[in-house]
Amino acid sequence: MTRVPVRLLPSLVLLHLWVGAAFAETLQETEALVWLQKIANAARQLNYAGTFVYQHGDHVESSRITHFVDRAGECEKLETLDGPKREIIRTDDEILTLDGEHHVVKRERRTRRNSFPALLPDQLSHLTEHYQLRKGDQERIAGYDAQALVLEPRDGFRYGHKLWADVNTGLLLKARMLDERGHVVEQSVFTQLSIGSGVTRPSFGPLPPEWRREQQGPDSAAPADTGWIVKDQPAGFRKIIEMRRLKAGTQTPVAHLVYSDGLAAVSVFIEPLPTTRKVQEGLTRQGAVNIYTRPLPDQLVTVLGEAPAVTVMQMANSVTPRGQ
Amino acid sequence: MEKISQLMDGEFDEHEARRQIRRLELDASLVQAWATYHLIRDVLRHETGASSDLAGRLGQRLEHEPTVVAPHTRLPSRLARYSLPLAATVAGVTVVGWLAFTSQSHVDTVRPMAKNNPPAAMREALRPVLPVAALAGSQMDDYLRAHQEFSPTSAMQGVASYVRTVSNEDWDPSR
Repeated sequence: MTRVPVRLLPSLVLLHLWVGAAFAETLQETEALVWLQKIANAARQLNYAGTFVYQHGDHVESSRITHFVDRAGECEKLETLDGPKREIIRTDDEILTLDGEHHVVKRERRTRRNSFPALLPDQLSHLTEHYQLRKGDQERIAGYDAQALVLEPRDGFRYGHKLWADVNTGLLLKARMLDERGHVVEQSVFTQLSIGSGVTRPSFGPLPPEWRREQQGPDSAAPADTGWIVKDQPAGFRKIIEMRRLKAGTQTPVAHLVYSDGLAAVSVFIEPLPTTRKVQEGLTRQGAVNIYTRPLPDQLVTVLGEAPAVTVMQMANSVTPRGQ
Repeated sequence: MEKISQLMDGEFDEHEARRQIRRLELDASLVQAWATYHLIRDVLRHETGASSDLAGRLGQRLEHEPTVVAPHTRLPSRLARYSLPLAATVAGVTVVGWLAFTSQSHVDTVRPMAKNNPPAAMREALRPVLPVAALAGSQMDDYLRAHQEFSPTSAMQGVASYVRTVSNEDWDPSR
């Protein structure tokens, strides 16, 4: 056996410990990343139906969701159980919205679904730069054993996440978004859930013929160079897609740019400034999504995303035509 | 293994990247390689912070460690005479090392926060002020739906993420 000079031992021990500890942390992150991928796959590949509760602020409501997939593709449905009846059915190529309050059925084409992965691999590998990932405890949710995952942001430009996934299938059972003070921004949790057999393809009930139908033409969103850029997005947010779409029910072209840090996404919409109404500059929010509107001389910029207001505003304030 | 490093660097197109991630899920040794490459990258990034501070602090802690007394042993060899106390020392150091490393890595994660965070005053000023309706009401639902098609967070929730667009909440501007 080769004898190691004693004076080197302390450094060797230190090296060993340091590498070991760093390795353990990295392994934790890797495991958490694999879980994230598993969750994203489960959401698309499993048949499931259940009731879930959605909460933000002091607002709580329950909805029913069904996800069905077979050789013909995916079909999923969300219907509200409280208040006016609203339903959304999403298939691989369209989104149907039934608004029982205003008696409107809206049909939108979607073309990018199958070519756009749930989580972008190159973004996943950068996720650990902006979030600290680790596995949490195992807990019981809606009768299922769930593995908790914790994603802590490394700065104030993104929310923290805690996710609970079914240990066996990876299906997301509970999700919580937290602000920098640890307050819950929004959360949703299944209270009842069936996974697998017994779930059938969802559909709308018969639609009253007098309800208004709105339709958006095919291929209304197409990848394009819009000529716009965001100059000053917070660290880690990269542009993942840029396209032109038509505003629902009109011929008005809208530029749509999406930025993401691998988990949170922020969308930038730029449209001609409406002439029919006065546009206010301002901030609002819908659940965890912050929305900021900012009129330019001829354009209207709307930025929204499941990120803190500061992120959305910083991006909105740095939208510029390329080359300026 | 080379594929893994390319995957980390985002050199693959979408299809190939997904294929590689599937491989990763199935093969424990590849997961280990993935972890190792991240480790290397992290080490390169945090080199100065982690190594110098850690060594210094460990040294300080070690000075205050009690001397480890070797247990009596019948093993006659010189190796055994040195290795047992050494093993005991390593065990002691391991505990200290973990403690030191844990606090060190905490410092590492906090540091970028201090540097990158938006100013507190600015964050405080950013309270939502307008009702959704003031910013174009139903059109916002169209934008939200369009946004969710590309949001990784939404992808993990499936159609459940649309709950924001069907929520029947009456906006309360005081909140």
